[in-house]
Parts: sequence; C-alpha cells; structure tokens
Amino acid sequence: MPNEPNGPFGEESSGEVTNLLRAWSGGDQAALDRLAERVYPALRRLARRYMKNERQANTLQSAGLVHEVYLRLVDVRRVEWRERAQFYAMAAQMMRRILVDAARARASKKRGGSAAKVNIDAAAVLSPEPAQSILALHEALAAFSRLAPRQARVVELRYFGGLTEEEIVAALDISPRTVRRDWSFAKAWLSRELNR
Amino acid sequence: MNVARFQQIETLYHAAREATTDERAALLARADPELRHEVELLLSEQNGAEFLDRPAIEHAPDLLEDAATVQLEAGARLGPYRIEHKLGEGGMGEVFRAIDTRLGRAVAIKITRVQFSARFEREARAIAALNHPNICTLYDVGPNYFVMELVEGETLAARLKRGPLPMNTALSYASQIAAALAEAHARGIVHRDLKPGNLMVARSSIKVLDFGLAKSSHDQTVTASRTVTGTPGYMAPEQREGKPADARTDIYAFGCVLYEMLAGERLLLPRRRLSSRKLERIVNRCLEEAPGRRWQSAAELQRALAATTPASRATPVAITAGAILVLSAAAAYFYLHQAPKLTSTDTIVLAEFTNTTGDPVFDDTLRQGLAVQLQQSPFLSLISEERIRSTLPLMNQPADARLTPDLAQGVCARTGSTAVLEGSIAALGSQYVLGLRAKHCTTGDILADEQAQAARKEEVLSTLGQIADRFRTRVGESLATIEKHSTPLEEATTPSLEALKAFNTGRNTMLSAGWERRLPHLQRAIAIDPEFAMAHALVGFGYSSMGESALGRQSLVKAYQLRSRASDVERLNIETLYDRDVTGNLDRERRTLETWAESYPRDPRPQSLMAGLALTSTGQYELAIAQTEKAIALEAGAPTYASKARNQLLLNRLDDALLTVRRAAERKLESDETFLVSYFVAFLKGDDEELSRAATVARNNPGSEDIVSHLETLALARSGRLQDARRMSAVPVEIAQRSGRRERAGLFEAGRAVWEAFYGNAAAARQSAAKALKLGRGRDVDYAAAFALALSGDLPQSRALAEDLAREAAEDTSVQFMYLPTLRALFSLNAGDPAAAIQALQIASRYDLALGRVGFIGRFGGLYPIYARGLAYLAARQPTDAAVEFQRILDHRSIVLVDPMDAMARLQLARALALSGDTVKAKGVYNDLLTLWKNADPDIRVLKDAQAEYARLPD
Repeated sequence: MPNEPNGPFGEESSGEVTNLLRAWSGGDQAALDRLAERVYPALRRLARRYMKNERQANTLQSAGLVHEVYLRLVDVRRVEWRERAQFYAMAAQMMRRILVDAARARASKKRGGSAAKVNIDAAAVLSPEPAQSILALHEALAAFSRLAPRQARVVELRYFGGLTEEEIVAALDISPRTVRRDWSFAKAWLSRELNR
Repeated sequence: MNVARFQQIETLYHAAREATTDERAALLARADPELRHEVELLLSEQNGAEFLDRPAIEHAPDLLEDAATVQLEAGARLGPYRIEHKLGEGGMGEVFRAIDTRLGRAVAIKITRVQFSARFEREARAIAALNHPNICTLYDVGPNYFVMELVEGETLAARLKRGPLPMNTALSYASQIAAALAEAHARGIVHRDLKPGNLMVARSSIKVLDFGLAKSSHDQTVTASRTVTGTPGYMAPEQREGKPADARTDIYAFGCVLYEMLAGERLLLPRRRLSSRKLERIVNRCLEEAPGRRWQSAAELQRALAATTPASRATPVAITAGAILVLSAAAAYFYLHQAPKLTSTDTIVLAEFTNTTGDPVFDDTLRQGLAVQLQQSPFLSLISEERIRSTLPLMNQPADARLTPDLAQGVCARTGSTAVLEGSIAALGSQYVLGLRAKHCTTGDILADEQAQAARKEEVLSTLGQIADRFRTRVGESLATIEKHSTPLEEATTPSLEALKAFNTGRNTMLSAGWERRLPHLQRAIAIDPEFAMAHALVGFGYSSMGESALGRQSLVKAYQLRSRASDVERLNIETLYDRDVTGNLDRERRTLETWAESYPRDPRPQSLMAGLALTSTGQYELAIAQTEKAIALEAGAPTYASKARNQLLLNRLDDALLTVRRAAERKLESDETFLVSYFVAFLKGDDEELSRAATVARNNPGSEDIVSHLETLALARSGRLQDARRMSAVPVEIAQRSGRRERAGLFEAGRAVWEAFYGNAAAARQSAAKALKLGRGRDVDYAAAFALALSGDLPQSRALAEDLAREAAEDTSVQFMYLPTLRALFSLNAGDPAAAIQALQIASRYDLALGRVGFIGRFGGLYPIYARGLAYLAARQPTDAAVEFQRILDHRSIVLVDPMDAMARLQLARALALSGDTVKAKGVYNDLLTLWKNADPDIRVLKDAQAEYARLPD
C-alpha cells in the first residue's frame, strides 16, 4: 500500500488502519493493539474538538464521532459490515474512556470552588451536571456488567458510542429485540442505582 | 445479589413489561414478595435516567465552561443573594448557603438540574404560602433555583445512617411531620416525595423540605397529568402505577419514614417487627395497599400518634395473666383506630360467631352474651332481631337463616346500618382464642379488631366480656368520626334539595321504564341547578345508552368541566363516563374504574360499569362476568344483571345466560337487555317458537321496540330475504326518528347499507349510506357507512370518513383498534395490496373477538376485522389462512348472532376451503349456506354464484 499523506488530523493513511482492522477481524489479536494505537488518539482529538465546540466543515452530528473517525481512518470500500461493526464497538469503548477521563479531569478541577451553573439568562437550559452523571454511570455500569455483561455492552455502545440499534445488532450479533429489551432493562436498573 | 437472582429479576421484568395489564398483575402476584418488589421498582423507573437517551457526547460540551452561565462559588452574586459556600448535594441539585443582602438574613439556595416551567413557578407560589414551624419555608423561585429557609442541621437520611432513633425522638419527629403534612394538605398541597432525604433535623425539631415535586390538588390542569414522580422506595402503590396522588399517598410515604426511624433501615419485605406495638399498628395502617384503608388524613394520623403516650406504648395484648398469646401472622396486624368511628346514631349488625372449636355449646350463646354486653353501651345500637328477620326474605333467605358474616353484610347494607360485628372462637390446644371484628359496611374499613385468649372454657364468657368492654370504651372514647370519605350512594353534590329530589327520581326509576322516562327528571334537576355535575353526567350517560352519542357527549363534557364541584366518588364516575363516551379511551376508563373500585370497595357501580362497554366491547367477556359477580354481591341493580347475561351469551353459555335472566326477573330487575338475551338464546338454539315469543315480549317493552325490528331486519337480510328486509328496515328508522333519536336512526340505516354492500348491491348500499349519514352522524354511523362504501367501491367518500375518524377520535379504542384497521384493510384490498391489508389489521388482533361499540349498540359489526383479514388472505392467495379466519367467525355465532355478515362468512369459507382443496368440507359449508338461503330472493347474485360454485365442485 503506497504511503498516503497524513490527513488534517494527522491520522494515518487509511490503508494501514484498514489492513489492521481486517486482520483483527480475521482473528489476529495482536492487530487489535496496533489498531487501537492508531484509532484512539484520532478519536480523542476529534472528541476534544467537539467538546470545545469547534465545528468542522462537515458538521459533526452527536452520534457521528465514531462514524467520523471510521470514515477518516478506514477505506470503506474494502471493509465488510461485520468488520465495521467491530470497529464501532471498539470505538465506543474508547469513547467511554475518553469521556470518563474528561469527566474526571473536570471533577478534580472543581474541587476548589463549586462549579454549579445558574441560569440567570432564562434562555439557556441546564443539562444534568454532566461530569458527575458520566462518572456515576461509568461506575454503575461497571458493577452492572458483572451481572449482565451483554446488557452493559449495549449501554456502552449506545450511550458512549452513540450507535444505532442496527449497528449494535451487527456489533454484538444479537437480535434487534434483544437489543431493545436489554436497553430497557439496563436503563431501569441503572436509573435505580443512580437514584439511590 | 447473585447472578441467578439477577436473572430471575430480569426475566420477570421482561415478562411483566410485555404482558397486558391483567397478565402483568397475575405474574407479579405469583412471584415471591421480594422479587416482586424489585421488579416493581424497576418497572417504575421507566421514566428515569432520561439522560441515557442521548449519547454521552452530547453532554460533553458542558464539560467545559459556557459563557452564558455563572459559576456559583463563594462571593458570587445571584441577584440579591450573595453566595457563601456550598452546603451539599440534594437529590435534585446542589445546595448553597447565601445571604439575602436586602434583609441580611441567611438562606439556602438549591440549584436544580432542570429548568422550571412557567407552570411550575405557579405551583411554587402556592407552596410559598405555606407557613408552619415544621415546613421549610420557600422564599423565592428562579428559573432553576429555589431560595428557602436555611435549616442548620442534617437530613434525617444522614442521621439514620448512624442507626435507628430512640422511641421518644421518633415519635416526636413523627408528630411534627404529621403536623406539617396536615398544614400542607389543608391548603391542597401534596408533597409526593416524602423521604428521609427531604427531612431536615435540627436539634429537637424536624422540617419537611423540598416540595419540588408537590402539586396543588386544587389546580385541575396539574392533576390531569399522570406522570410518575417520586422516589421509588417510598412510593405508594398508586403512585408507582402513575395514578394521581393525594393526601393518602403522602401518608404512605410517612409510614415508610416512620418505619425507618424506628427500625433503622429502609422498608423491605418482609417487614421487621417494631418495638412498639402501637406504633407498629400506626405504621401498618399507613402502608396499606389500598388508599381507602389507610389513615385518611394527616390530622387523623396526628391524633393516633398523640394517643401513644409513653405509658400506653408497650401494652401487652394478652388478657389473662400468665397466658402467652400465640397469634397467626395475619392476626398479628391490629388495626385499631384511636378515634371511634360510630356515633350514637349508628346501628350495627351482629353476625353469628364463627365457631371452629367443634363444641356446639358455643353456638348461639356467644352471640347472645355479646349482644347483652353491647346493649349496655350508650353509643352502640344493635339492629333488632325483628328487623333482621324481615330483611332476610328480601335477600331470598329464610327469615330464620343463620346470620353469617356475608348475610350480615347484606342486612347492613339494606337497612342502612353502619357496621357489621363478626365474632369468632377457635381452639388453641386446650385454650380458646376469641376474636371480635367490626367492619364498616360501606367502606370496608376495619373499625376494630380484637383478640383475646381464655385459658379454660369457663373463662370464655368473661373474656368475651372484657373484649366487649374494650370495644365499647374505644367506641365511646373520643369525639372524632370517620372522615366521610365514602359518600352514601343516595347523596350527590347540589345545594338544592329540589334538584336532588328530581335527580334521585330520575336515577331510581326502574331501568325497564326506559331512558325516555328517566331523562326528563334529570333534566329538571339541571334546570334547577345548572352546575349539578352528576346530573349532567347521568343525562350524558342516558343519551349515550340510547345511541345519541353527540348529545351524550355534550352533557358529559359539561359534567367533566364541572367535576371539581363534585365529591370524590362523583368525580370518578364522571371521569369514567367521559372516557367511555367522549374520548372513547377504554383503557383509561378501566383504570379510573379500578381506582374507583379500590377506593370504594362497597360500591357496585364501578364493577357494573366495567362489565358494560369497557369490557364487553373489547371482547373481555370472562372478566366482565367476574365483575358482574362482584357487583351482584354488592347488591347491584338491573344493568349488572343485563351485563352478566349478555356476556354469558357472548361466551355461548346459553343456559347460564337464561338463568341470569330469570334471576333478574325474580328480583324485578329486568331491562331491555335481558329481554334481548332471551331472544338471542332462542335464535341460537334454533327454537322458532321461543324466538317469536321472546320477540313479542321484547317489543312490548317501550325501550326495545325499535331494536327488535332492527334485529328482525338483520335476520331477514341474513337469510337472503332482501325484499322483506328492505321493507322491514324502514320500521326501526322511523321509530327512532319519531322519538328524536337521529343518530340511532342513522345507525339502523347504516346497518342496511352494510348488508346491501355484502350482497353486492353497490347502488343500494351507497344510497343507504348517504341516507344514514344525513340522518345522524356519529363515530359508529360513520364507520358503518364507510365500511359499506368501501365494500361497494366508493373509495373517496369512504376514505374521507376514515380520515375524519382518525382525526377526531384519536383516543377512541373502538375507532383505533377496530374501525380504522378494518377500513384501511379494505382500502388496501381495493388497491390490490393484500399484504398491506394484513399489516393494517395487525393492530386489531388484540381485539379480534370484540364487539366494538358498533356491535355493542348496533348489534352488527363485531368480528369484521377477522372478516377483512379473511378477504385479505384470499386476495393474497392464501386460502388455508383465509379458511382459518372465516371459520373463527362461524365458531363464534354467539357473538355474530343475526349479523348478515354471518352468511357472507360462510360463503367465503366455502370458497376458501374449495381453493385449498378441502372439497368435502367446502361442500358441507355450501350446503349449510344454501339451506340458510332456502327462502332467499331468487335474483340475488351471490346466491346464484354460490349455487354455481357448489355445482362445479368435484365429487
């Protein structure tokens, strides 16, 4: 594969990543590590930009980070749906790490003063204190995955990865009905845990 | 939590979620209590964790600072408030200490995570009006924050982490909380989220905070909401189901809190025994599943708490010295009202003692002995033996029948007495256990429940005397009476006696007299008192029963608008009727009826109503019968017998139906419906003599004249005697028109349109449909007309009618689950798309065997979705599947009855069978059909087709 120039994010040529993805999908576990080494930084960079509200020319949709990084790194013509699904699943896990890290950093910054936000401007809407939600969920999810690993995966793929139902079906090789049921149950369970 | 347990929870969760309401209830009931509790908590979390619905990344931008917001830290200003420091985290947000710089006073500011709506700010103003030492005062409200009284101390939740409270403290706190609730409830504010996290302890006082989820019960717009709010562990059963919360919901939560204060841990199943029996009783009554059985008000609760003085708190229950009381788990729960519920004008009915000792000496003697004891009380009045003897025959019992608790209940209701006293004696080894229970007749509340033990037979009478003493004393003790939460059936809310009298006359006139006779009285009541909500409601119900849905709706909407002026039970009645006849939302109607039945267990009307349109039109015939039986046990009236007989008929239990009709006749509780049931039974049995006799009887009944002619028209059409049917069809239309019932006339005419369409007479069908729509519009008329038009190929008009229905009757169960799917299927078939037709009918399969409202009122139209599905399968070249559908119709003759669709179903079945190669069966069906049509008009095209098809079948 000829060396293609680095893209605007400094990402590696799509050739190499694609090969690694296919190798991993074919059973080569070592390929996964090298693949992760390529994907994780790219994903984190993208995520940071998103978090800083920087919009690129091709505007990022909320669930689009994973797709975006996929499109940038992988030669989609050479990859099957199953490999794509695996990529997404891996990326979702990475997203979780990235967001949890960011949340932790945020929380430690806050320890000095309080960082609650008050809207004096009535137009803005305050969403749930995000750092704490994400951290709390991360821990609850870890405990939950000990009892229900598949259901926890569904949550991870959907909440952290932003994957659609079909993508989850492909990634985990389960039926749509199972995805829906798992999601419903996991939500109820986690909601209860988080509200204790 | 181990994996196996977890999987059980998950399995039950999914099963319960995917089940119907009834199946769910049954599933949960079968599970062990802890499992059930877990699953219910999970099911109630359906609306929680909303933030999970959007991907995490969408929250990410907020991980960085946003310029439009203000960081709250020491020294920051929020309007006139200067922030000092953070106090902690609340359930809904963070709490800060601040100084109101205008007044120089310290306050607490709670920032919440969600933006308040304008509606919420309105409610907050109501809450701000609360001023009580045990309520944390609300000073100010902003877009997403509260400013409240600053309470120095810790939450009760924090305190309880260190262990349970000493008895005195718990009692003191409980009284204060009850006082706070009493104050709020008196102003129409319900807390809805009472829990230790919302209670602030400061030295010896306790304050209730965070009315963040409270809603004023005076605000009608607010109480219309059915969302589930509150913390699951403290939620009353009705809250978990999303039903409206009231004072008793708070009382349930209070019970959880009191339990937790005493036990030191959260309420779990099984409940721990508490060290104080009296407090345990109070807690138990707070935690009753049915709101009607709890303390009815915080004030009542306060009195109960006040009565547990230190000296009386740990009273041992055993009477006889040295005896150890061994009680069954059920008997261990005592429900003692601290206030007596009987006034000097109350009478009680003393039932026979239930004697399980096997020793006949106790029969009779105990009852007599007790009667003597009780008669000495100035406060108690026992109903006389003569009165009992003359009442029993009215219940079809011999005058000297043994007064079992059930019979005593009946006597109590008929004589307008207040309570039934049930005694029992059982042997426990060599000892005897005596029990005495007083039960209020109308509400079902247990007024007193005493037990005592006698060591020897000789001591039984004296022990009995002691129980009687305690009972008498308790009754005579204090002055408060039961909060009249149960309005006697005769009362209705109107300031005018004249209006009430007119209303009662209208209501009490025999049902067999017909609505024409009853309505004038009701309308007079409205003329006298135009705001008489219940009268409007009954008028509405009457019109609807007569088939005048538009008129009915007018009155019911009026009643619904006026419902806040009515009593609790009237309001439930009005809401029921509103859903029944205005929105058509039968699921919601059922839920209201269930609430009604639960809150007023002695009222037979909810069961009776449920057994009517609600269950019958949706095909739940068995359930309907069960409801009628409950209602009959509560001494219901004619409509209940009518419903029972009708549903038995629908289930093809012909002899049972006749029996019910006979019972109704014996009690002089006949009605239009019971006459018709006799008619239909004769029809199904093929008994022509009986049929014409029943028809005559029915016709004599003024209310049924038109309907009998209508049925005869349908029967004629079914037999193919179309000329006769056409002549006959004019009769019911004319009768209905004469009495001004245009919609009813329209429905009769639309019935004709439908059978003309079935027989392929497109022009006649279109003509009839047009005439029907001109006579009187209504959802059922429109549907029937649209059906006829669709079947005759007049798509545009049919579609227009369907669109109107879809738009105007979005919540109507019959429309959404039967009418529209059927029409859409016909449209798809017309467009040559049978697959789409089958798809359209999917949603109807839940109500496949339902009558629908059109079947309920018009006696035709039931099972049409199945017919349409059969047609779709035929068009899709799946004759075997089609045969199955048409066969279903034939298997349910008792639902289809005289509907001409029956004949069509046979024809289609024969065709389907022939197409799928089952020639033998097909021949049989053709034969039956041609027999049915033996006297048919010879020129009918489908008849000729059937004859030809039959002849063509191979031998």
